[in-house]
Amino acid sequence: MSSRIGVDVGGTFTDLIFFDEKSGRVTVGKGPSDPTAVDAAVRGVVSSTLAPERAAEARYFLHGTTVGLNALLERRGAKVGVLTTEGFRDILEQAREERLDERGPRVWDHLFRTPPPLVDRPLRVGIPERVLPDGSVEKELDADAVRAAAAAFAAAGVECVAIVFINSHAAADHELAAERILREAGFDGPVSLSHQITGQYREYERTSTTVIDAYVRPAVSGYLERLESGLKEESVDGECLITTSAGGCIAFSEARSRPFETVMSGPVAGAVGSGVLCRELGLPLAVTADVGGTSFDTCLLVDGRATLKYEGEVVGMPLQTPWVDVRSVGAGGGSIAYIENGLLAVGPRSAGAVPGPVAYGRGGTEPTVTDAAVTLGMLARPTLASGLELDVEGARHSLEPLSRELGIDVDQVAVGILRIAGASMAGAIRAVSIEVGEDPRDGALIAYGGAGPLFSSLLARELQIGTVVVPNHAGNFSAWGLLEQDMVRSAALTIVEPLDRGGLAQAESTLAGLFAQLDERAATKVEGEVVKEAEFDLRFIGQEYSLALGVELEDGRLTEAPAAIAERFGAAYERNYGHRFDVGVTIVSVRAVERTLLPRPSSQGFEAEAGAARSGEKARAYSFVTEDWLDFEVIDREALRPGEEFQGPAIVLEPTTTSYFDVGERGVVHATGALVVTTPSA
Amino acid sequence: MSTDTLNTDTATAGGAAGAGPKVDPVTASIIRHGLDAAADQMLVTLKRTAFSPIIYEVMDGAGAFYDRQFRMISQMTALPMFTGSLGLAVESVVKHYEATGEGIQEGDVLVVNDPFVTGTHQWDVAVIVPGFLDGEIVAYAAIKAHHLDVAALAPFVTQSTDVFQEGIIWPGVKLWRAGRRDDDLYRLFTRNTRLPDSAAGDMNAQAGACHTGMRAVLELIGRYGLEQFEAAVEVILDAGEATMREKLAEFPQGRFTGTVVHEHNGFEEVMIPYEVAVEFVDDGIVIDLTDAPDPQPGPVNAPVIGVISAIRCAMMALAIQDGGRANEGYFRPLQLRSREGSMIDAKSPAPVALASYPLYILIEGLNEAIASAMPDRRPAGYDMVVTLFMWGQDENDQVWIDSVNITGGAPAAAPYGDGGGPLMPIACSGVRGVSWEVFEAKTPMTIESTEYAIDSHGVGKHRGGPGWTVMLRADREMELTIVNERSQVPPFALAGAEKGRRNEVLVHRPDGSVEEYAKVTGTKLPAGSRIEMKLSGGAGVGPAAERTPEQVRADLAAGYLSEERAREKYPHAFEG
Repeated sequence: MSSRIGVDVGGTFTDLIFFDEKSGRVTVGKGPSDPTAVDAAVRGVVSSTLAPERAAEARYFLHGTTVGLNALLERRGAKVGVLTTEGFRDILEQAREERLDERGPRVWDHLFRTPPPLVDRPLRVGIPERVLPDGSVEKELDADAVRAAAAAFAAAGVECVAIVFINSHAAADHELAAERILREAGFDGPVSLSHQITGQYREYERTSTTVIDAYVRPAVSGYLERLESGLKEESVDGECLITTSAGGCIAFSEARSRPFETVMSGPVAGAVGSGVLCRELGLPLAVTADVGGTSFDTCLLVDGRATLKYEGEVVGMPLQTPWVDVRSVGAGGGSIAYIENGLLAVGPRSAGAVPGPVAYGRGGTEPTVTDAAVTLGMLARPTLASGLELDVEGARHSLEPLSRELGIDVDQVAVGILRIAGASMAGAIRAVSIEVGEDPRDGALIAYGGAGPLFSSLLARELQIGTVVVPNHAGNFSAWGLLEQDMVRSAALTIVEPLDRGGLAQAESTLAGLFAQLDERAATKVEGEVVKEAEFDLRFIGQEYSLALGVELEDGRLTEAPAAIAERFGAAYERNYGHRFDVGVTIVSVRAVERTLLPRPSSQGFEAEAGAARSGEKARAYSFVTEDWLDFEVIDREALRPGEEFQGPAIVLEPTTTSYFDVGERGVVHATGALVVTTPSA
Repeated sequence: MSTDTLNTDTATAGGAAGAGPKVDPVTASIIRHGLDAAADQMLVTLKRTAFSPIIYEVMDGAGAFYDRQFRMISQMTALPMFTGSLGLAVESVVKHYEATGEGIQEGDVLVVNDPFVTGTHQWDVAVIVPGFLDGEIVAYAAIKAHHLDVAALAPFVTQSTDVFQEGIIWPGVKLWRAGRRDDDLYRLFTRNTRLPDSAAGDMNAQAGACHTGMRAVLELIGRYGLEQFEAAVEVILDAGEATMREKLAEFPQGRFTGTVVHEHNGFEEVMIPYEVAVEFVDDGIVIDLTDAPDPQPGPVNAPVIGVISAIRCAMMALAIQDGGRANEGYFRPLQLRSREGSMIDAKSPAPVALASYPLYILIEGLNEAIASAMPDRRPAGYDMVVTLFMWGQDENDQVWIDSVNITGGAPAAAPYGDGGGPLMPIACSGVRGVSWEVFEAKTPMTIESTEYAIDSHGVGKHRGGPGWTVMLRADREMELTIVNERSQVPPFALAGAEKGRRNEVLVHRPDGSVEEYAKVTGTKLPAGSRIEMKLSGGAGVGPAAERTPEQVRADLAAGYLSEERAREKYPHAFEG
């Protein structure tokens, strides 16, 4: 038995999926998110959806949350002290002299000021010590200086300490020794060591990552602790696991000591679930379209695997950790439409859950994407499947000021809002695919999230994509994705060696050390088959930026010849960038990945509701193909049986989302319940 | 050139006349997004494939798209000053091939680094790729990026007396003809650099990135048709113009002046002051640079093409404060009054190796003028970028070259308060400071310190950001070029505040000697030498007497300020 609960906390809603292994049945739940009491909202949706005896059946509780990210966004983190190499205490503030903050790059902003650092200067302490890039020690660690810092930290009430010494990726002894001395001096709070956090060079980026880890630790740790004990009270007794930014999950206990790994995990579960769907449906290439209330998230899946990246920025601060390459744009159901420089623009400002779109009648007055969709009849009925009454007139009325200013009628404004939102989503899809050398036209589009299936038709046409997939429980699909994960741990180290026999030997011994480090990290042993994988970051000699490439590993030995790895790297480079170089290759970093395979839910176990049937109901809605109002068939999704066909114009309704299929699209229900739609672009 | 050189967009200046728009506002907006996304793809490809840290790490390069009238239609989010006038370079090179009758073919890749065409110096190599649809040119992609070596007398020079000492000049040649590389030219190219491998790598990265960007633009044109695309371009440029005019209308009409001071002519320290003026007039803005002095004997002169770019850059920042993109439309209300043959309208063969610096300083002068018109629109003065180029041979006798571009404390600004962490001046906004660990891994140098310096900032109601001191140690013998442009006159303060400390670059040699340099080319550093960069402090805004005692105490606690200086500058904080 491996029944399980998945709970995904979004900006607007907290979604639950319960999978009952015995019956193969799925139970869906939804409740409002509460940023001030996230764990209470999670408990709330568990208790309102599942009776205690059912909750108790779950062997795993899988979770996705943005608690760490929120602590950063709202600057509600710990009081952190930083120990760094003497002479480098201001690195965190010097920040590479860029105009970059949570709003993104601000190249033209004369009045820009760097945001205040997460740690003020008096708590950033330089310690005499120095390691050179080759790992040799130029200056021994000054233990007395560490002790003095410990006393100062204690006096200042420091909760967490980050230790970041220059070149610690080459030799970690000083960071480890400094931690020991801090402990001896009586510091008993959490300590984050930079070489264990990223192991990669670039002192500002590594400092930023290590400080973020220390900063969010109490928030994440306290949250997970509260949630775990709260879930026990709701009779949830299974292993509690949380999604990481790289996809895959780790035990709550591990996440409490490595919280930075969860910071960018928000949109990841949907990507993982989409990967499984790709394998079930035999889709070699796909892009996702996850449209929520405020944002659109997309990632690329090749053979069911999401692309990973190893650096990026979160709220304007670099974070060196593997994360699923999800691109986000501020375009969702709640995004507000306005006029900028005489041109119609949509987002990133959102009406959010409160006040929400005008059509929801909760006090919203500004026109949103949802209001445009309501105006065009795309939601089919004036009452949503969730029971919400739509204010159709109010939605239309809210578009009138834009209509007057642009000199086009209200319908055209609504069409424009959807097309513009769709175009920025399509831009993100192109970026995430073309940048790694894949053409989205060759793939399928997987649409989910509250508003994803509303946009799939528009996006497929804009991108000339031939296949659209709307998974079962599409509105809660991110929660479903949580159930599909393995436990994954990874660790990487920068080594910079040539890709030859000697370099491979070096990489092999580095890998052995990294796997040993991963074993130490595993506080909780979860049962399951363990698979070990290795990955190199490679580049041509003379270059700096690298590409990650998986390499064969058998019983800890690297079995491929250097020339074979070089050839595969050259091919991957050429696919990405259109050319390759006839020079040697460098191994920049080595990454050890350990997967513990969890038992999978057998399948989405789909059955149509007995007694539900297609009624032949029609609704008037706008067609983007004929540019006219047409009759759309209105279908309740529970009436669609595996193998059943339908065709656009049609609107499919279900409690968590609405799917819109335009003229010329032909759908069939897959055995999993997923709607697989062929568009005229095919 | 006397007037109107800024307004190169004569085709539709003042709004499109004649036939109405052939594109709806929604499609125009979608095409604008598409162009911006294409520009970013070009940036990612450049960064990820380049061989030189000055490109991939520092991003001393930028690119943009131009339409067939050579008007900039979108640019990547990088170094603003690089793309502002690159359209003029594209135009000049294309017109050359039209004049010879050869024309431009599909698959051609053009290379130009003639400073009097590109606006800066030979190290900035521009690559241009035309985009074709049905045999017709419909757009151009261009990227200008800094190459580490172009066979000048040193990898970077401060003492040249004409442009021919500053490296090989590519006047605009086809390195690829119709998709085939010209191997003769390519050999000439790789032979004329001390770093042939990275030069070849960077050249391929630039060409590859242009191709990537152009593919995205052509796909966009394919989707919407050329007619709609070009109509959308008009709408996008008109919107840019309207925004600029709207912002200019907020300023009081009249003439406002700022002062530009050069401290060095390349050979000796000598004050070279001149006045710049900004005139807000009915139909736009006039930049008056006619007070600029004659060309200098050393390479602190600039071609007018670079000056146009600098002015566009300074004025763009009036209209856009966020991550928005410049386009040619914004430039339409700008007019330049220049004095042909002055040091900032210099003619070949004037030496221009340090052309970026007169441009940075010019922008500061314009900022001072704008701040005097509307004090809340500009911060106090920015530091100039202090530049070091160092080179030598590694333990395998291979030549290495690297550079450090770094700026001092950030200025205070009236609306927001104190200066924060250091920021590149707007002209090279988008350029990133060095990563010291990467630098150490690539050079035989060790960084000993990079800390904020006490008492370095300018005091005031809003204080400047702290200056910092960087100490580098040479672990092998090497040579060094220094360009330090604020060694005597620190960045300007506003509204009664004080300036911070000046920039000072000192070389400590193992024999115990210490020497200060403002500009020097290839000075020899024996192993064990140290380079000390005492970077300027940010300037303040508002009188020191108005700083609150709490703020003064916070500055003391942070170690930005000594008690002695605090008592001297803020006596009111110690009363009672």
